[in-house]
Amino acid sequence: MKIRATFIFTALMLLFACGMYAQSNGIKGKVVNREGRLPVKGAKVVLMAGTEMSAVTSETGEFQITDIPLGTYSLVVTASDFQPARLNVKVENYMKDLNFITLVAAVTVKNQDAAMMADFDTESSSDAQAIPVILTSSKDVYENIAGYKFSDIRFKNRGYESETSAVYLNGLYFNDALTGYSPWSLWTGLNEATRNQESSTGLDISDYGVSGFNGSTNINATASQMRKGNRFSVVNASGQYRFRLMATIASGEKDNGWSYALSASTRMGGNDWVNGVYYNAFAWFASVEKRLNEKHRVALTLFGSPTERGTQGSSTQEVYDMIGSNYYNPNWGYQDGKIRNSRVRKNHEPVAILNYTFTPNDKINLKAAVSYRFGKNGYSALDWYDAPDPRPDYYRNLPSYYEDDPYKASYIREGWLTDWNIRQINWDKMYDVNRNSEDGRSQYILEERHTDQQDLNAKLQAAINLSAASKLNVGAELRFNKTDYYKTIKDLLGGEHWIDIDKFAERDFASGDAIQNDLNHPNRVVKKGDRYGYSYLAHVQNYKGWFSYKFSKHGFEAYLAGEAGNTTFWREGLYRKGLFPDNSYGNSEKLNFFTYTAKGGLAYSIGGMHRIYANVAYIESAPFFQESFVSPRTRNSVVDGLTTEKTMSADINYSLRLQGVKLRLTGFYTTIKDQTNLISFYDDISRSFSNFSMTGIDQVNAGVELGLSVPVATGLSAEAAFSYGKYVYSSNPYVTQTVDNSNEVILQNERVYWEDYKIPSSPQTALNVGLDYKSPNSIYAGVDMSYYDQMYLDMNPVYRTDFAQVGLSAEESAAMRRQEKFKGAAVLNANIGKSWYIGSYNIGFSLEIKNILNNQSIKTGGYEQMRLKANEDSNGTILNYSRFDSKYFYMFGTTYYLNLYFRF
Amino acid sequence: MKKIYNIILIAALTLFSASCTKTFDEPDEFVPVNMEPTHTIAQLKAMRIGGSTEVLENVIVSGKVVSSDAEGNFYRTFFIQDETGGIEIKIGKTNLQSYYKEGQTIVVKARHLTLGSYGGMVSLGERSLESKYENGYIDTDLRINETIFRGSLGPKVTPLEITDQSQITDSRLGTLVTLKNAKLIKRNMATWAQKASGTVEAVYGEHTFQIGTKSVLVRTSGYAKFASEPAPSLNTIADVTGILTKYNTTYQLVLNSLDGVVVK
Repeated sequence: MKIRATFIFTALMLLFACGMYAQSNGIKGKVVNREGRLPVKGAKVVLMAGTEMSAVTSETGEFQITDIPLGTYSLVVTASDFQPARLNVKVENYMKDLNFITLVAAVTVKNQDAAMMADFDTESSSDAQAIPVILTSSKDVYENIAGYKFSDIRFKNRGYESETSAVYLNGLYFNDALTGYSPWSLWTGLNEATRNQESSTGLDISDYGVSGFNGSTNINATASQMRKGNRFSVVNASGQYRFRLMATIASGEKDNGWSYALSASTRMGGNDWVNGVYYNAFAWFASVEKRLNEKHRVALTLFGSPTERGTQGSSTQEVYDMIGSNYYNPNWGYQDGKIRNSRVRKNHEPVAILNYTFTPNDKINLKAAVSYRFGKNGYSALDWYDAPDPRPDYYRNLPSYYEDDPYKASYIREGWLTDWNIRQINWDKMYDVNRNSEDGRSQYILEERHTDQQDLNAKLQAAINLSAASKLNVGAELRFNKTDYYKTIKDLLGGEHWIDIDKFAERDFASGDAIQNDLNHPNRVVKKGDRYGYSYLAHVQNYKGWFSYKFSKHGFEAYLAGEAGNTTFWREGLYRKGLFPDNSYGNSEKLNFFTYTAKGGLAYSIGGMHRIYANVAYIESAPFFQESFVSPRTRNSVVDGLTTEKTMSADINYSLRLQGVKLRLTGFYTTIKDQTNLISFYDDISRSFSNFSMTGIDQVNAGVELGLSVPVATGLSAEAAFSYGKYVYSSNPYVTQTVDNSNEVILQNERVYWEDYKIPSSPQTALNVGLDYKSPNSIYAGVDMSYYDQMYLDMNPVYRTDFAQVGLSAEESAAMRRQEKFKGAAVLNANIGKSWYIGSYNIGFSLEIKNILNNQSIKTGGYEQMRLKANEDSNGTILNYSRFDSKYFYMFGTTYYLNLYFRF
Repeated sequence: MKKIYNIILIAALTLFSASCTKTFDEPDEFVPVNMEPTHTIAQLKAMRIGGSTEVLENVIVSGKVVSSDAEGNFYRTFFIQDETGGIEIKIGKTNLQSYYKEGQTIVVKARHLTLGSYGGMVSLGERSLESKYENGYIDTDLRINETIFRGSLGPKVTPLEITDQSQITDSRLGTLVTLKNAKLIKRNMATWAQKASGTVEAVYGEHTFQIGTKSVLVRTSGYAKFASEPAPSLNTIADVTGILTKYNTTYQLVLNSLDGVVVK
């Protein structure tokens, strides 16, 4: 749902007379945007003085209205893409300089959370972090629609990974230092506090850095940047959580220069579709800011989102069909009559940011910022020792495992349909086993895998208006990250202790040093809360410098931007692993990468209505820590042939703004070369964690994007967003497979033949069309339809190696290598809302209903299982391999989101 | 005033946040099943007639667990015995020692399970679709829940001491016995078995002990955790404890662990 911002926020810097001699009664001033204080040209300034008097701002944002009768009037400033500003001016008998009139970007305000923190548990990805679906707020006509409407299918903009989109918070680059992931989970639940966002699209440079090739967002979350007032809202919903309460107060900037803001929220409960998924989430935010004088401004911002969320696991179609629902979640079981989820994410990573702004004159703006992120981030999972796999949908617990024996298959099926302890996790049985184990040694435990970051980020930036036509932005950034990776015992499930040995190695080596997780502390008895299993630090250090230079004249604009930097990282093992005594404890080699970005762009505007612009960029970026070690949990070994990732990207765009019609059309072409990837998963054939380390992954993303908004009648507009792309792998990369319980290399630089296969997990065709209505009396409503197609399943690289084809017929081999394409799907959504003003109070509601047609068979993602099924003859000789069934996630059926709000 | 209320509200929300985590009561203690057997294990074994035999009556037997897969020498199966004899239960699950403890009473409702024999060893399992086996693994959770019930825990069963070759009889198959002062007269390798490694398959260890003139083959899986441990040298005298089994005419013994071998 969209609520067009109805409020007006103005910061009128100076309203008093400057005492200069005036030839006539009048006003003048300069209209600037709030961030960066860049001039807004073409803004319409209207004074209601009996008759309407108006002016349009110049290239430098300046305006002047003369010959106004004396008196006090209302002045309204409007500009495309900005919220209108209204202020009262007293016209006296001289030319009064209003100095700056600041406009706030008109960003469509979504009433939902900025990022959907639904966690999708996949065995194939590193589960260190949730990958959110970001609901972009943007003034761009395409992103405004696509960023929100396509989120249901976890659409990836232009087919890029979400980590390629830069996220800045109070000007600091905040993407995860270890994985690049979007950092939205840090401030989830703080929608009000983080609502003030500016974004750039595609290759455009941002005001905060050179940025990449997938847009950027900067969140202005200091006290003065928050909308003044008190707000309280209650949400009842069925798609993510049941309830949300949120309260926010913001003082705005007071006369004494102080401003402060506080916000807190809670989100509670589960959803209508998947059992075991729940929110138990809170968030807190405090910011204080002081304008020391006209030149100096300091802000301190602190926030955190203590969150506990039960996650959703995927399963195979066999399971979904068997129980008659595509929303089966294998992660939970009944305990104490209640649903208990084994995979719970629990994190609280507070952030502190200090911002300082120095504006010595209207030509120069200097910014300094430093941030520190700390706290805990845990994700629980079951661990077991000498006991059967407790996961209900383990392949041996499914009918298909007994395909030769229909009698047993039907027993399995009946068990699934009649017994919750078969269909879900059997907690009681695990407690029973632990309580009766010898000397209290638990055989089943709940572990919590931690990724606890300490991230220090510092930045200096200067924006210099060299002339009316040119602007230079320069910056220097520094980042130190130390992350503690380890796991602890979260729950002994009725037992008294656990012994820290490698159960996987024990099978092969029985005893001795090899089975020790930490040779420095062999056979350690561990209890609840203790660290065990693995423990290492990631050190990442990064510095960079950048500039961007913009020049504009006579409708012509050009920019040039560059960035150069260095990234160093290494692993520091805290355990001496029995299998790798000489290669696990202490520091690994230090990996060092020189990185740079070069960007340029040209634009030409015709009469403020048409604009044609093009960008080109070349980027070399460092691989991420997480992909650079073959088995980071156990050893210091670095992936062979590690190199920088090279991206070349170009786009050409046309935008139109004419009598309310907004249009953007973009064509883009991007190649990304030398990507690396590490896929870690539990392989129950080798009964160990297995790692696929991939290098030399190349891809090409080409496509077009169209955004359109057309007024149809008063208050009614038709809107559309369309994305059509061809995103393919363009190389045959290499994969090396290792397992954590052996120093044996299982596959060494095996070729993965997937050139021309599709980039998975996002529709390559996506369309949304809708109608949006806003009445003058604050009623708004909308209906829209999305269509998705050309979406492909995430691939297991090994299925595409020669290794997996041995012994297969041509037909079987084709089936092994085939990539699944999902069926196209359409989704209908609608929303309605109204708000009332009662004196200075504003009360309102909004209701959104998604997937009205209740389509429950839309695949939103999934993956091929990483294991191979070995087919053996009667002597146990492996004849060939086949696939395990793939796992899928489905879009929820109909959900609603009802928001009631109160503002004063 | 309004502001103060707001601040209080926000502070309350923040405080509330510190104190809310899902908790669960621990499950109730396990209640052992208490069912009276209708038949002895010997009676049950005698019901197998000719070949594969589905039990059609309401037969309930009870016995104590005498085998353990903790060391990997038993796989997907366990043995129970009462005073009349022992029987293999082909349950089909792994890591059984965590749930079916040595000495624990197990009650089996045998109706619609299938008796079968392999090399003369009678076991209770599920019907088999493979004709070369008279029965198969029970395997499925629902079926196990319907047929195999866990009774009270108890001390481990004291093995029957076999001091004379006349004590080695078919009626004692499937029970826990100790071969007293048996002599190792033959072996196929110097370790108890051979583990799989690389492309080499695991090999059973076969160590023949003698009591009087009767030989008992101690057969050890290459998947046993102690497979690579050295076996005693020939002519060693030892007390050897394990489950007495048979393959055709050869009596065999399967060790629960190396604790079952006490060299004299």
